[in-house]
Amino acid sequence: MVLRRRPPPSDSSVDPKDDEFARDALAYVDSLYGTALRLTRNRADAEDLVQETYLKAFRASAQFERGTNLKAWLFTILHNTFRNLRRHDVRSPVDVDSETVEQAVDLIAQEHSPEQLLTRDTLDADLQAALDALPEAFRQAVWLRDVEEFSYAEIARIVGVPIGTVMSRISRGRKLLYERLAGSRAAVRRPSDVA
Amino acid sequence: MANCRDIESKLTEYVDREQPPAERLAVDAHLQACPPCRARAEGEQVAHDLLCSRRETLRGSAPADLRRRCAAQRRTSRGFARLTRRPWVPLSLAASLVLFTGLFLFFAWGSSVETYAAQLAADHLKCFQFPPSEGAAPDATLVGRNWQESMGWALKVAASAPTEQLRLLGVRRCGSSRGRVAHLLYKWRGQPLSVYVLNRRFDRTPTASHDHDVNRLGEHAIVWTEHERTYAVIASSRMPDLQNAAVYVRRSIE
Repeated sequence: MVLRRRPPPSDSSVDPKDDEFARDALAYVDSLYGTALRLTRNRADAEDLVQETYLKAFRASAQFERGTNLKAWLFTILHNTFRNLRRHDVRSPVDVDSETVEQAVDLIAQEHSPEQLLTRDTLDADLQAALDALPEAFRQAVWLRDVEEFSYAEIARIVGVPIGTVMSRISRGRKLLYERLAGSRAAVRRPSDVA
Repeated sequence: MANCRDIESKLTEYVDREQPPAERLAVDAHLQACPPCRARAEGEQVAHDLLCSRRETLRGSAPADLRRRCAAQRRTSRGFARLTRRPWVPLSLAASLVLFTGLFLFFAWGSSVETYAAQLAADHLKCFQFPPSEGAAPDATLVGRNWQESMGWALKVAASAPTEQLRLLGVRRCGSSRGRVAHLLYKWRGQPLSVYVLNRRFDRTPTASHDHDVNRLGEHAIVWTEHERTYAVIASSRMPDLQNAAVYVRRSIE
């Protein structure tokens, strides 16, 4: 038995609205990939996740309400797909209860004086590493707000938690991120302390 | 004046400058008088500013191959859309599937290895519809190391070999295998060639030295088990040509 490859369907029958939707949706591939990388922390998984997101988005394009926020709609699909995939993936780490994480963060609070120099001196790689080290709930909230520039309400819909929780996670995520960056910078300055 | 707990709940909006002016003034007044809250607000402000200033770098850009594959999802979805517009089609397809499965089991279930080879042949054809871009050949050792880091099990990868006219294109996770099957993609004598590695012994593969030569979907497959891994080399070339490629792959992983 020989499998014959069918030529791709002709584009002549395509609705111009579909074309417009596809063009607009594909413009967010960088943002979706960057977010998928932060969620999965693995390139192959991130690519699979983005590809699956687009497949679902194109299939459900008729349900998208023109004039509403396409980016937020795509991000909601991405997060839902990630949650579903992880539910079935035994390799994934156990999702940490948000309240427990928030209490733990309070316990390890340190006395760091804010240093504006940190902004200038932090390397991209350090920042990526510090972000990746954040508990997932905080990392998602901070990323969606500060990097992807979503409103609190949009983040609440994407992640599926109340707005108050979103704001709390952003605040605690930023606090923890700062502490990690300031802490690692102090360690570099005082190698004798490390030994 | 607001207490520290009240202020903590308002810090996100304060840093984002999302508060009404009167509320912001109240937070400012508290921060002036309370060094711990001020330190926290300044720390969060630094983190926020840092992330905002590095937005573009942090986002990065998606690989060209991924862009292509995402755009291709549109074609796949069109078939789905056509299907859902005609409700009799899924019923007809379901009936055909039952019939096909029955025939398949009847004719092909002689060995589960043959079933496995058929699945891989289908995946090989599907995957090469969107092959990786043919830039510089990736380093085989690095590909193996990256795979181990991300999937947690060691993968030996046969390197590109000009003498064999074999060129490594890359590695992908095989469809729904959840990281248990590595799909190594090659160009061999100008034709697509796949090497699949399953991270366990295939249940019914008789012995380590026994090769299965299976012809499925117009593709030829050689399947064998070695070092608690099951390997399959698949291409459209006929024997004994494909055997030569399999011998090279086998030598490379020893």
